[in-house]
Amino acid sequence: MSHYNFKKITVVPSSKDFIDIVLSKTQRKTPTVIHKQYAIGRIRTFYMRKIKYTQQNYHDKLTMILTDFPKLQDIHPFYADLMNVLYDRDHYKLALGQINTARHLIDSVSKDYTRLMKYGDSLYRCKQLKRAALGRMCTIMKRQAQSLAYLEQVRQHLSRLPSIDPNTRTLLICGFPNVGKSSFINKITRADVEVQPYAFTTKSLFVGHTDYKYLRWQVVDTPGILDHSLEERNTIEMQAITALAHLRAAILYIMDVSEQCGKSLEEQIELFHNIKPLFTNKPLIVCVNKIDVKRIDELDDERKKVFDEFKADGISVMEMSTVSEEGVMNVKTEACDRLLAQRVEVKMKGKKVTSMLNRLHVAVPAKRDTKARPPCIPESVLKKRQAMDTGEKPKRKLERDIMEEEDDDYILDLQKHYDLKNDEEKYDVIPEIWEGHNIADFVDPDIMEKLEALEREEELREKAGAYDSDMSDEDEEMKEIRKTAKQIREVKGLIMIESKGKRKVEKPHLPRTAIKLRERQMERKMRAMGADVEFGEDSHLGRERSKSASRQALKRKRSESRDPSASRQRSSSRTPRDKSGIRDKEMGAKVRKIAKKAQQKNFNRFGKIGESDRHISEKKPKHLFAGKRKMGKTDRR
Amino acid sequence: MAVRTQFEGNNEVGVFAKLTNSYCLVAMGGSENFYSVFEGELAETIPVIHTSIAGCRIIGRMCVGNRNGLLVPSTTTDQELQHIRNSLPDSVKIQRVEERLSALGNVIACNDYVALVHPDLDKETEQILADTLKVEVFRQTIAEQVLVGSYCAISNQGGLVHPKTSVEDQDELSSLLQVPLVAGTLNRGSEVISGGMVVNDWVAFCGLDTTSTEVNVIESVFKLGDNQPSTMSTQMRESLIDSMT
Amino acid sequence: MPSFIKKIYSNDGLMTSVLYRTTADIIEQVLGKRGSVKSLVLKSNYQNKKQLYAITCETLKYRDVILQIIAGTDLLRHEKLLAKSETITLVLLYDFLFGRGIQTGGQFKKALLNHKAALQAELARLKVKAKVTKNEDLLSDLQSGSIPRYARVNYLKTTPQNVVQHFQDEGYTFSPKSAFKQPGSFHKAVKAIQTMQLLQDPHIDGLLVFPQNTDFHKHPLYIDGSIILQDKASCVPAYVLSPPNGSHVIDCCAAPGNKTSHLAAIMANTGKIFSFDLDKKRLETMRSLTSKAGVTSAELTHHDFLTVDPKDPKFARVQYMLVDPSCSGSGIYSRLDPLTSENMEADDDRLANLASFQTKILTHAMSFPAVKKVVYSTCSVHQQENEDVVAAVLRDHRDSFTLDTVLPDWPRRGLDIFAGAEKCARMHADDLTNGFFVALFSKIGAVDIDLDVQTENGTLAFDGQKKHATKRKYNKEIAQHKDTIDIKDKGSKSRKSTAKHESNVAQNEFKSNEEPPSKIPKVVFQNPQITQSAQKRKRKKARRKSEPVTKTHKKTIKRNDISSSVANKRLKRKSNDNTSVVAK
Repeated sequence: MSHYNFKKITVVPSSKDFIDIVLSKTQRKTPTVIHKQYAIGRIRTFYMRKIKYTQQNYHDKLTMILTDFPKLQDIHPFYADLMNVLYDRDHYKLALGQINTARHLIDSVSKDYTRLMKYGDSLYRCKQLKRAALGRMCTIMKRQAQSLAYLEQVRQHLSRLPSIDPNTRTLLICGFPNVGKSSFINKITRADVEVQPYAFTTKSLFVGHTDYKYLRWQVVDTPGILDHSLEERNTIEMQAITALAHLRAAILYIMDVSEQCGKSLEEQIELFHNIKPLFTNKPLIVCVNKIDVKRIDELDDERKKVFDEFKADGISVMEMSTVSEEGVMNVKTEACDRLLAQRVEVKMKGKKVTSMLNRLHVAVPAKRDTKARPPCIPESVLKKRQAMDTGEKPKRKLERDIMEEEDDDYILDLQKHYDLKNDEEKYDVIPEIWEGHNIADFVDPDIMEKLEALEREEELREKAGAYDSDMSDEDEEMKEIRKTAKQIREVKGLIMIESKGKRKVEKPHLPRTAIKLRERQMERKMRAMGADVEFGEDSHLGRERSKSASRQALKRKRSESRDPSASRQRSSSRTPRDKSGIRDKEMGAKVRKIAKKAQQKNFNRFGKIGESDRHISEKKPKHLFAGKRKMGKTDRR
Repeated sequence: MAVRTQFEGNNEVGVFAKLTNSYCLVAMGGSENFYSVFEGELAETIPVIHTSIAGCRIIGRMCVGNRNGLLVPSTTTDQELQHIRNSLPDSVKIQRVEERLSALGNVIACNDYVALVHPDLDKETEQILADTLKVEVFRQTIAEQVLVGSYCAISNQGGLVHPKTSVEDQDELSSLLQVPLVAGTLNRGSEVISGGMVVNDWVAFCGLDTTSTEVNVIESVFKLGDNQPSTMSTQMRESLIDSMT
Repeated sequence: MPSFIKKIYSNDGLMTSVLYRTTADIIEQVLGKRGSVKSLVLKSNYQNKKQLYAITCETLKYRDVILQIIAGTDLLRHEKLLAKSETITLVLLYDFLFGRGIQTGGQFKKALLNHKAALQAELARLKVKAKVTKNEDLLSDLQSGSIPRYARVNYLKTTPQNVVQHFQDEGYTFSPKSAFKQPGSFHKAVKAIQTMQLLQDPHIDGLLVFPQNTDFHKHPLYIDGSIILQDKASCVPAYVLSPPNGSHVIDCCAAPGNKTSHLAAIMANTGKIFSFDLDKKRLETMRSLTSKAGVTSAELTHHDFLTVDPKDPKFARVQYMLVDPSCSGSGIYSRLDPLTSENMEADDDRLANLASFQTKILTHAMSFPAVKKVVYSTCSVHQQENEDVVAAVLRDHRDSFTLDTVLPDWPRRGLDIFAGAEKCARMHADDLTNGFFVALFSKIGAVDIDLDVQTENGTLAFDGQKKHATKRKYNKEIAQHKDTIDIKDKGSKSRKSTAKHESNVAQNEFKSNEEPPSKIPKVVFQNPQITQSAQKRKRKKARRKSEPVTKTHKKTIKRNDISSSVANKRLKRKSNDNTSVVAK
């Protein structure tokens, strides 16, 4: 689950870095120019801003630390206890507490000094106050050096903790050191925990995942536990105890009857009984490991009796060997089954389960008629299913393989799989149909030939003089008409010329098709035409044409008139923008006045220097240019 | 058998493909990966056809069909129609439908015998549906949703419906469809069942995100593996309870 | 679809559209109560009368279903044409959905087929809702007020305990009559009866109630005659008569023989039953039926009862008569749908004819010399055949016969048209039976005749002075003890002495309401606890039937000794197998 992911805590800087970060940010993000001749209010706000900004930065960063680190009372008891074991609860709380105090102190310093700033009566005093404030804040932070260093360590360790979800299905493996816990987890998951033939190879908790019954199971490997009292246990053992105490898991208590682990069977039994209270209400399996070396059957009767006692107590005892893998899967399935049964039982009592009970229901149809509705599975599929059992068939070449082979040249062939009676028709062009008509039906295939034939005929006809005959056979009347018409056209033409003359523009026109000619081209052209023109510096040929004055249109363009009978919904005229929303003239005047005033205020009319202008008060500060300097002295904070 | 796949990174397999017992339509994508998943499973048995409908890739939501026929919306172009006609076996009728609810796949769910349709579907469409696909037509809602096509997937052997369908509704639907039904999800909790999967009588394709529990529910209710639907309430019961609460 | 319809549908396609039209006309008239189906069909011009009748009846039968479908699909709103002529739509829909499919219907057909899918879907939906597979089942479920299926346990073959056990083994749930002590609770229970449920009728001994659609035709108990399918109403006359073992009885119109076999069962196959019937064919079926039921005491005669000579010495000892003459059958509910039934217009002539015949037969029955009790029953609801006949006969035999009260706790009595009509009982479909009428005449100053009773212990002779009512009870009890009595183990092994009482208690759950009062003194000393409750019950019943009980108190003790000894013997034999019993 995501809320137990401790990997996202931001880095805690050391106190020195902290100060540097905050101060440099203040320097970068606040104005830097101030002059003593400024109004004192302005000077005060200038420094007050610096103080406040620094304080805000400190505050934010510290708050971030406080929220990022998990609060022990808020997280799952398993993690709370684990953190207690690993980092010591008191220390952790103290560190966070101190950070919190530091934050308050910084806040109050800022508050004090902003108040004091009101009494600063000169730039110098104000600046001293600011220095004092920032100095005190930094001192406070300097004192947090140890807490910060501790928290950074905790952060680093936390981020490396395995992400154990305390609420999910979990198998928990525990037992003496060197009994084969890690070998077991390596067998059933892909956790790859280090396995070595000595005790305490595993020093912390490890998590692996396995699948069973379509579910994901979390398997937690714990460090070995020795048999002594709780007070004497070290951090490594305590991690195992924490996991045992808080995870609602199936417990696998691994035992080694071969005693290769170096502990006798009796000691192992003793440990089992000592930590037994931790197993209550959890599915428990005692796994006897290393049966490749020694089985329970091979033990003497007295020792065998111990296992009989287990069985009598209702604790299941299972044998396995992580070397020969015998019984390993049995142990896993048994543990999973029992845990699942327990979880389901608990969940069935809850409310949530009612909302999903419908999803467990298989609705079986009530027959409503006698019609048979058989499934339709083709023969070939059934055959294929049987073939699957016997062996794989050679793989068919898929479209994807073709695509990969041909790479860029690949073109999807849609027609390849057409199911037509005549396979040759596959790649035929599909006719274009328009409104139920095949367009091809309306295209004459030999139209070109027909055209040629017509042309030839025409030629022949022309040659034969079919069009030569004059229209001489017109009567008098017609001639008269023609004459009159000619006169009319002449008069019309005159009128047109006259009118054109009236409207003529007295400037040369440049046609649209005109291209700009280069001087040399022009020269060449002219020469070729036989005109001898003088080209040179003083000729006007290089000059561009001046822009002609735009001519007023002779007639105003008319907009389309509306039908007066049509009802008009609203006036089409719009109030100008400066008058919209203004009640009357007085209001307009007032608004204009206000607008002007506002403009004046913002506008730096006299071009005065402002605080946003870059200004270096002293071009060459002495300390930067005189004497021997160390690294880092050239900047000018 | 249930196969997990995705279309260009999209889990909604049922949007980009249409699967029936006699043909399979697959959207044209940038690469042939999606097509080849279907091709590899099905090409020996039924035609797997590249196509678009009305220029769209969301063919699974646009059309509806079964072993007997295919209905496409009126926006399907002539070329597309001709292409599909050429690719389909002759036994399958194809018909264009004038329907206001043009995403036919969303408003109609059917197997080879029964169809559930949106309550507001046109009368004529209903009649065409009954004649072309040879199905009984029931106007229905699923879990109070009118988009019956989206919220259930049915084959001749079983059906998966919206996870919020009540037990009574499931029984009624099951009796109408005459197949066993189960309410469930896929693609890691998606409720849009037929958007996320396509199924016929012997194979199902679902999104890559589908969890193993979901796959198993699908396989058992559609009788794709050796499991019978009853395993849901017996063998799988515990896993289902534990994973769903 | 019934097979006869299939047969008569011919290929006269041209006629069908006329057929639909004619059918619609007829249905409209029937619904408007302007005639019965039969008469209207006969009046119509349509040639194939059989076909017309069939389609009319069937359409009427399916009318409710079709109307539901029309409402569900909103058909009439969509199709104006159909809305105009609803009845034709009804007929077409019937033929389309339930018949052989529309033949020719022109525009109507076209309009209807536009909604083909929706109509079929609606039908399927109805079927899903009713959870039925076949169309016919839909029908029976939708018809309200249908009467349940009754089955009488044949005491000649088995006992109710065995039968109930058998059904329970099949998965039926059983509710004994003790569950229906409150008035109306039985009625409610029968109304709500569901498949695989079985009730015990509180009125008639040994009668079981099953849901209407129960199919018995292949049931082993039905095949071997252990149960007989008989309506509750037709069990009444024999039950009312209840002749004691060894008596001689005449069943005047015997066919189909259910009543005769019931009589034989009541008398435990002792005595003699003379059964007459006019119809040879029906008598043959009756013969097979009675032999299947294991009746041996009946003598079947193909003879008109009216011509039987009452003076014949053969009938000298006949004291009991069961008169169940042929009648209009208007009470038989299940035969026809109420809409199609013929009694829309009571045919007065026919009724008058029937009534005179019934009077004749009843009078003839009373003319037998030794007769003591005559039961008259019909399955008609008409007053002409019932009260009028009884009144007429009673008028003629005022000095020789009186009416006795039948079924005292039955609420529906005879129509109050003459003094004493309340002594008769009527039944009606509302009582979940066929319509029925029963009256019991008893002769004034009748003399008892010695009976020879066959029991396990041999022949028991009774002296003739005893009141017949008491005797009947004894005999019955003996008959009970003859049957196997299975007793649930309530410590019967340790308390054998109380077992006898328990057996009675257990049995009384099953047997008649009449409790042998003799047990009271015996049992008091044995097991006060049980006895108290038993006594209470007895007292309650005794109050109802106080007269005969108190009078015969003494004698009963003696009788009961015999019967209890039988029971004890049985018990000893059976003490090892503790098969279940009904009373819990």
